[in-house]
Amino acid sequence: MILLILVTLLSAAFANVWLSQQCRFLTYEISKLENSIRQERETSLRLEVETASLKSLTRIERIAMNQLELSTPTPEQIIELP
Amino acid sequence: MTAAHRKNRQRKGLMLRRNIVVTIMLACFVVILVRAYRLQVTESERLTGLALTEYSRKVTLLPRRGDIVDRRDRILASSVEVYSLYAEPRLIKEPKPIAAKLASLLNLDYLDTLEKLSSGKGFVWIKRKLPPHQKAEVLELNCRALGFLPESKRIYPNRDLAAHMLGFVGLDGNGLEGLELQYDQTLSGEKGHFQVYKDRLGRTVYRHGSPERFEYEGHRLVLTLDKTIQYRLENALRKAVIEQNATSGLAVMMDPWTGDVLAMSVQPSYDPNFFWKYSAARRRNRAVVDCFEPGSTMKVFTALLALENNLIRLDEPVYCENGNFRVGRHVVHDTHRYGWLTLPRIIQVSSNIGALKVGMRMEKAMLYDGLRRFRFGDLTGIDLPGETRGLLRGVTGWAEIDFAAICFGQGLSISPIQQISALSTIANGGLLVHPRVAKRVEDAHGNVIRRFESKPSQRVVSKKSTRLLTKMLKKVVESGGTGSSAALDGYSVAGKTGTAQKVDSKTRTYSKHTYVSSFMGFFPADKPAVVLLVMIDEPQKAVYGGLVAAPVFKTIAEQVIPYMGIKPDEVYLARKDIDSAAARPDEEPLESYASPIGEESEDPGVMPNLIGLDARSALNTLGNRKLDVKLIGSGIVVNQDPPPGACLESKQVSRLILGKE
Repeated sequence: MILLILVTLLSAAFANVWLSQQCRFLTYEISKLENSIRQERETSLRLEVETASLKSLTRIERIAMNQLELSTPTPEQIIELP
Repeated sequence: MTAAHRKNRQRKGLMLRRNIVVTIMLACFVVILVRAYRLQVTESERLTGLALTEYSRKVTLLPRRGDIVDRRDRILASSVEVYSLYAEPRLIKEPKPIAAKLASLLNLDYLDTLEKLSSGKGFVWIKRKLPPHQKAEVLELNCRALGFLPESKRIYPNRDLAAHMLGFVGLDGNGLEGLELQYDQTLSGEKGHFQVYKDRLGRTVYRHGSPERFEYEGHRLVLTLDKTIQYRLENALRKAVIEQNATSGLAVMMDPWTGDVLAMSVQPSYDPNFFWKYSAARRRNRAVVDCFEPGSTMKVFTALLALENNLIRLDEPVYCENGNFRVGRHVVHDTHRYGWLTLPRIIQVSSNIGALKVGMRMEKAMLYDGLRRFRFGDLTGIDLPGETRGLLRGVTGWAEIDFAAICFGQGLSISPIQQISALSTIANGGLLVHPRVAKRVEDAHGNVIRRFESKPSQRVVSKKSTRLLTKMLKKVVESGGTGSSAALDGYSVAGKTGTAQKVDSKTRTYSKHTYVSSFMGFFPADKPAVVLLVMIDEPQKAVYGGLVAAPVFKTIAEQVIPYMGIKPDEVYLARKDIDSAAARPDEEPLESYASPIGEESEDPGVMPNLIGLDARSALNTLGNRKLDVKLIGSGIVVNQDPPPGACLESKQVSRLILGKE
């Protein structure tokens, strides 16, 4: 009987240690993932700003006029689609 | 000694040693107990606190400043995380090599850097807000005394676009100008905090109460402004300022029904990413914080108030004194010598004398109260910092010449935003609008936190008066009016030119060389979609608003009309259909308000409109009317007396002034 109790207690102790360890490892993992999310988010924000910068109308107009040799249409050239 | 006696002595010795050991052990136990009591009970809190500092840490989350976006969700201002480099000089034994490396990597001054690293302080900034590649290069130095702290950097991806409205933030992320200042609290957010527990390697093993992003981050501000309209308006204005070699220029476009500011620009502009490179004067939003004498554009409001108070009829002639009129010790001039003019003609040709004669039919208090109703001399309440009230003195301070001058736009100062708000009132049929720049505030998840609704409009003048005035303003933009360069193909425009002399700060009199040329108007005149004000300060090539500002108005209008999908006037469309079908030549007049130019009045007792006709055509038009016609000058009819629509008497003298329009 005493042996059974001892074995149970020992098992419970090991289980407790194992669970604590698992909990710690998972927290490490969560921490890493959170850092990674934060970095990805920062990258995403940076890219959004870069996109906005590339979409700058001054830049688009410059490329359209200088590189693609486009010009502003006259009112007669504009056809409204239904 | 017997064996029994020896045994007895041994037992006593044993007892003694046992008692000593027990006593020592008891003493030790008591000491341990006391110590344990002190540790566990008396000093428990202090020691728990000490232990916590070893393995727990309070993490502060720096809020990211919220974005500013236009009405179509396009980014105008955003923030990204960057790193600032600091050093701990106390830990540096040989600062010279580190200073040399940092100076070359970060383009810093070597001596300054060396001084910082040799200061022996615990903390010094080396360089704030480094680009990512510089951070990587510094990390490669592998120096224990150098570290990085995350900071937020404000970026304006469209550079100088809408710079005066957006404003900018300082190095520490506080709004210093424009919307960044006005909505600083909303945009900046609050620091977020939570607790983490660390292991001996500094890794997080448990976290407690991490806040959600939207709880601490800055909110996003959605504006009424439209990036494309803003860009087109800025381009046209910039070109005009350069062409005219003007000191500056400004333009504001507004929705007359809601007060939404669609675009606002001051040229030359500045790049808020590098705001410190520009003077404070250049960064000032002159459309809101400065005031100007409006000049002839004020005649619109004088005429409106006279109409509202039934002080003049549209066909009633007003004698314009042939261009010179004495008011007290002063003489008021017109640019042309006008005789009799009706109110529509006064507005069309922008006669100062006509405007003051119409305006002075009112009591001083009536004019003052009327102008105050348009919020001249008061704040419009626009959500931009530093708005000026302008200058409209109380009636008691008005001399006769002040009263007269105010009628045609001198002797008072108003801000461009006051002017365009007042014009919106005419465009929308008499309702006062409250200009606004911010539309709504959203959290980091896009949930609407606050909506800035258009404030309920208050009626300032009757719809009838604004309708009549709109028809007059349409004449200004037609041939023969001062603002004909603002006319648009297919769209009716109502507008008014202004050419205001500036006050010379040295002589404190009106300068004969410096002017503010302006044009304000709205289109389509009968169903206004936008109101637009253009002002050019000190143009050098021409001075009249009709020549300087009206063409800019036209350019902007032509560019935004297709973008906004504003439909042409129905009359124009109908006319286009008729033209294309080669229909009857005697088409209907475009409007019934007044006789179109040169159209013969069928009633022989009424004077027809002869403006714009040559002498022969004018005489033919007069036909059988019994008039004593006197032709003065040569060219086309630029003025006539009696005015169009006036009742004729038998053998009345009629003067037709001919000239070049």
